[in-house]
Amino acid sequence: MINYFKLQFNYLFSRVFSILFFFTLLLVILGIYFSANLDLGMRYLDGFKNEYYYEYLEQSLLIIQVVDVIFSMFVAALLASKTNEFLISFTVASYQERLMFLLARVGLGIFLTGLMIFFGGLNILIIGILYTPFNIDIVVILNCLGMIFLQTLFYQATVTILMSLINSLLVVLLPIFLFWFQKTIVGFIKIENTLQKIILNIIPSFIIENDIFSFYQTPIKYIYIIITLISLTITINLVKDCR
Amino acid sequence: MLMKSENISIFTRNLTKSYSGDKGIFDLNLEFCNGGLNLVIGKNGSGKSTLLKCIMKLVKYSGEIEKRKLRIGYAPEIFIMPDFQTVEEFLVNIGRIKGLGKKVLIENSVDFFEFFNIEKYRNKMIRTLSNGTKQKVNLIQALIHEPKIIILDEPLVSLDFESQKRLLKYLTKLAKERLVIISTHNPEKFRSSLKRIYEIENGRVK
Repeated sequence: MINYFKLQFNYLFSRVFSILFFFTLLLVILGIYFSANLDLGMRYLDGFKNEYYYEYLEQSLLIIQVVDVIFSMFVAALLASKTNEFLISFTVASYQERLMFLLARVGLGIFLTGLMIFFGGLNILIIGILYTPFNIDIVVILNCLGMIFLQTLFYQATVTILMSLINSLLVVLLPIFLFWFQKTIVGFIKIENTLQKIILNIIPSFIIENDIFSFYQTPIKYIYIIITLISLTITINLVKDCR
Repeated sequence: MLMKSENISIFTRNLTKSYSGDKGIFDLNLEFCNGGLNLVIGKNGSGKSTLLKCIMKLVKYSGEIEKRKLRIGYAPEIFIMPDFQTVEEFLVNIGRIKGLGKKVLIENSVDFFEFFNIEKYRNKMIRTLSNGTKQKVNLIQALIHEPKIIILDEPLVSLDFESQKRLLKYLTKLAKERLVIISTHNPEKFRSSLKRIYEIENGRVK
């Protein structure tokens, strides 16, 4: 299993991807740094502590969310590409081996997404605790990061399923559109529209309003949805004919 | 090392894989054994590659395939390799899955690089290689881990005359002890060392 993981890791981490990965990380770090408004000075921030804290929280989480969702879709598209599929022909001679290949593929996607969110979260805490006067609520931040993680997994699984069914990079546009649509409707606590309700109940979503942190659906239900999607991804690829 | 007396074989019973529009293979009952080359011949689209893919379990099929759990090396006819990996990285990655350590893999690859005369491409990115060199790398990945069963789909395609000759000699030698199955539409090149030959036409044995 570990060799399959190494295979997928080495496949993904080409020089180009490595540069892109570190560039994305840098983007997240810079984004979080600027959302802390450190240029206003400690005294000024201290005067409007709560206002700037919520702004910092909202903006930095938004940066992590947008960058990580796009990044996870990109990773999923690379891992579900034709080139990766051809690695099956080179390495697999039984269904058991194919299952290990697919599990390693899914595992790597989850690992990288988690890593990105971990670094983002760490950055929020480091900047928030060391360089600002804000009273950082670690529990709220961890909850938000957990929800963002579920959200990225949802989009990652969606891209993988779509790529498995229609092998074209263009299908990534559909989840991107869905993500944009989700971002436009999320934020309203009361949703009347049925389609909007369905979307927010399926795709992990949350809102923070001042110190209130709320989900549209219980997290466990979101986790079930994601497990179902990932299982579906593996099943499709397990029974699918290889080229 | 295999003993000379050891029999390695693959049997197919009523093997069927159908695609839309009457394409595929139908009710194939075949037997492949070591001791000489096993050839699957036929025109383009006759079902040769489909048969090999069934044996490799790369496609769903009905019927039975009986084979022992031994190391298999497979070189597909159509393939895409990761463009941004070097030849050595690619071979090590694939070889590790097949159970060999990095050190052994690098040692083995040296012999194959010399054999195919591609030493200078060892640290080159796959995207910079010609089709012929890519085919050589494809063949090396199927042979590098010393498999007991070797399945090669059109192995001579894109190879220069000298490499074709060397490969034929090498496979003939290997086939004495190991099971070698080759699909080709150039059977005359393999005539001298044949064990079995199956001609497939429209998915059925002729």
